[in-house]
Amino acid sequence: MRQSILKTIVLVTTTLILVAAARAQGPQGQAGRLRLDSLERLAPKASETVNIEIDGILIKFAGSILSDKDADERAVKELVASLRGVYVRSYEFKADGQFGKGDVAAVREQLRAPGWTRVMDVESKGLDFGDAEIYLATAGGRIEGFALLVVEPKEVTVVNIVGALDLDKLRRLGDNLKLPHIHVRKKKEGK
Amino acid sequence: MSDYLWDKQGEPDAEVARLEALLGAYAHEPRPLALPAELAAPGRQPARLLPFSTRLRASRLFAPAALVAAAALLVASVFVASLLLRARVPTGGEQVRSAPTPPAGAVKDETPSSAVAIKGGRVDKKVVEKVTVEPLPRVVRRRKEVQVAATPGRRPKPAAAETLTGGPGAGLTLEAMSTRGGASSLVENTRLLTKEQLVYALRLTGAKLRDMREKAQETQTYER
Repeated sequence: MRQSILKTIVLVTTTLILVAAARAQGPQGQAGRLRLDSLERLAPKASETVNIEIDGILIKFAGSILSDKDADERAVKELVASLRGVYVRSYEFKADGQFGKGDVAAVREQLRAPGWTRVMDVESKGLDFGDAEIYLATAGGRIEGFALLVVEPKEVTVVNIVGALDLDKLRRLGDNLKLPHIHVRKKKEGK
Repeated sequence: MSDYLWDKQGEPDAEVARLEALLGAYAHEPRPLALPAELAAPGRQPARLLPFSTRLRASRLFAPAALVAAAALLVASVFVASLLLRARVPTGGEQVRSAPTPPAGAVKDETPSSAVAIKGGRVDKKVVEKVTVEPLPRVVRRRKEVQVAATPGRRPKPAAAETLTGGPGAGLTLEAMSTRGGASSLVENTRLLTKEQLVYALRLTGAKLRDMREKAQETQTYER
């Protein structure tokens, strides 16, 4: 009998460990999802902070409340329907030198992983506006994730959109919401 | 002593023969194992779901232990489910902090700077007032909530409103309102908050993309 109890306890414990492990690796295992936790250490120094995380039930919730009658909302609804998560971290600082390359290194490291492709890269090259990059995560010929990384002397912004993002829809949405047009220039060389 | 005691050979010993007659009824008789009918029939044996399921079934004493294990599993499942549900609600905080310089036309704030922090569905508007939107499962503890409205034509209340100006969030209006509606108002506010965060994120993305385009053009001009 003791052996049976022991086996039951082992079984329950193993199940719990597996569930916990599956949950722990959830954000990493999701294609197109970046872990942005490392950026949170910039928050105390920043004068302006934007931290948005909409995923799971919440993004479906947002999609369901958007109206079909209003053109803007309908456009957003169509775009959101295929998305699984929207994550934004943006930090603005009052002075230069409040952060270093190491602060965004963890994000860049994830973007070097297979599956991510840098499709646009704007470097300052002597001008005083910092660097900006756009990455797309693809799987099976479909866009599974979008990442925008802007590093300026007084600002760090990372946008991560997970899901089958339709850039054409986003561009059309830009028209409706007075958003700017998106012109993605593909680099001649890979990354 | 003859060998009769050991191998029944030789002349029988009277005493041994008497004892044999007395105890012979209890002697070992080799015979095949006779199982009960219900266990002997191979087709009627229940399928074993677990390696130790037959033992579980056989042991009546195990019943309390099985109940304890089932209860532990149930508690663990509820715990994991609550963790998963909590992970889907924005935790750690959506924070929108701004220290804007109000341009012409924007709602003026008397304080030199103001900040709005949304943490786990809770919105704190420092300096001017402290307002809170609790997430759905929680109880409303504060008197004020914040409704976020980005509709351009919407007129915010001048007394308790803040417009995020400058940057990609321009046009977003945070407007205070009372919680007369109770839970339904809370649900409505959460819905609006989620929607506005989504729109804000898309606007921010669009603004950054526009900046990138302009910078790319600047870079090209600089290189020429």
